[in-house]
Amino acid sequence: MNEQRRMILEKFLKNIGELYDNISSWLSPYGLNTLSEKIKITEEASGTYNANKLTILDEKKETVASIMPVGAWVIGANGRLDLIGKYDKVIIVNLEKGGPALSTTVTVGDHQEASTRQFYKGIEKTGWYWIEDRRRGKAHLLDKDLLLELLSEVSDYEF
Amino acid sequence: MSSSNILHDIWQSYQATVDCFKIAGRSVNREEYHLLSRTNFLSTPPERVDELIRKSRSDADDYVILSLWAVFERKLFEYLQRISKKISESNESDFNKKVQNKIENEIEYWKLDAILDLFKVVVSPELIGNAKQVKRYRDWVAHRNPNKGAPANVPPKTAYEILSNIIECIERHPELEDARETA
Repeated sequence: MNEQRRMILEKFLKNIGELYDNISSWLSPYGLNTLSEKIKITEEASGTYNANKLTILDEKKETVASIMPVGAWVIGANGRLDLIGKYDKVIIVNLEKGGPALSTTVTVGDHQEASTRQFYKGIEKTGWYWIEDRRRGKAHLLDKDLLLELLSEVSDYEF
Repeated sequence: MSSSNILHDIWQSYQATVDCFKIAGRSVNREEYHLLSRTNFLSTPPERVDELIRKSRSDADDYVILSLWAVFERKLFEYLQRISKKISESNESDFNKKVQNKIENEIEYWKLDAILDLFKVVVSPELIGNAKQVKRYRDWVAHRNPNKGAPANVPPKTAYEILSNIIECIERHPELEDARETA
C-alpha cells in the first residue's frame, strides 16, 4: 500500500474511533453499552485490514444495533459505516465540509456554461453524516439526537 | 415519462422493498403470524427468517445498483442509436446506413468506458469518472471475485444521484436533441 493510501486508511480508522467514543458517551445515560470487536475488511486499494465493529447492547445485554465499517474508499465520501438494526439499516458516510461537488460543463458552440452544485445539501462541517434516502440529497450530521432517532428507525428501540 | 424518471421508478421500488423487509421483520419478531399466512416464512424457524430478511435487506442495496446500471446503460445505447439514425436519415448514403446498422447491432458489445467517454463532450469528465466507478462497483457486485477486494464502495443513493445527473445532462443538452425520445 502506498503512503497516500495508508494515510486515507489511517484517517478512516481514526474517524471511526472518534465516532465510537462519542457514541458510547451519548448512549451510556440511556443504559445502553457498547462492545467493540475486530473485523477484517478487504478493499482493492488497501488489501485486508482490521477495523472495529461496534455493537450497541441494552440493559439485558441484547443487541439493539451494530455499526459495521464498510470501507475507507467510497465514491463521494471518505469512508462508510452501516448502522444495522433488527429491522433496517442506514448508511453513514464521512464527508468533508461542503461535501463532494458535482460539476457540470455544458458547451454549445463557443459558449461554455459551467455550474457546480453540492452532491449533498447540509454539510457545514467535516464529520459523519446520514444521507437521507427519501429526500433528494439531504445530509444530516450524526449527533446524539440523530443517533437516537436512527436507532429507533432501524430497531424500533424506544428511548 | 422523462428518462430520469425511469431511474426514479427503480429508486421508489427499492425504497418500497426496504420498507417491506422492515414490516416482515416486525411481524416475525412480534409473532404476528396471521400476517405471515401463505408465505414461506410460516414454516421456517424465526431465527432463520430473521437471518433471511437481514441478508435480503443487504442484498437489496447491491441489486438496486445492478438495476440502476442496467437501465442507465440501456439509455446510453438508445441515445447513440437514435443519433446514428438521425445522421443516417438526414444525410442518406449507403455508407451512413452501414454505420447506423453497425451501431444498432453492435453497440451492446462496445466497451462501456468508451461509450461513457463519448459523452464527455456534454457531461463533465468528473461525472463520467464517477459513472465509471459505479460501473466498476457494479461489476464487482455482479461477479464477486473472492480473491479481489472491493473497489471503491458506492452507496445506492450516490449511484442514483450520479446516474440521474448524467441522464439529466444529456436530456437537457441543446446539442443532443436528436438523442432524445420524442413522444
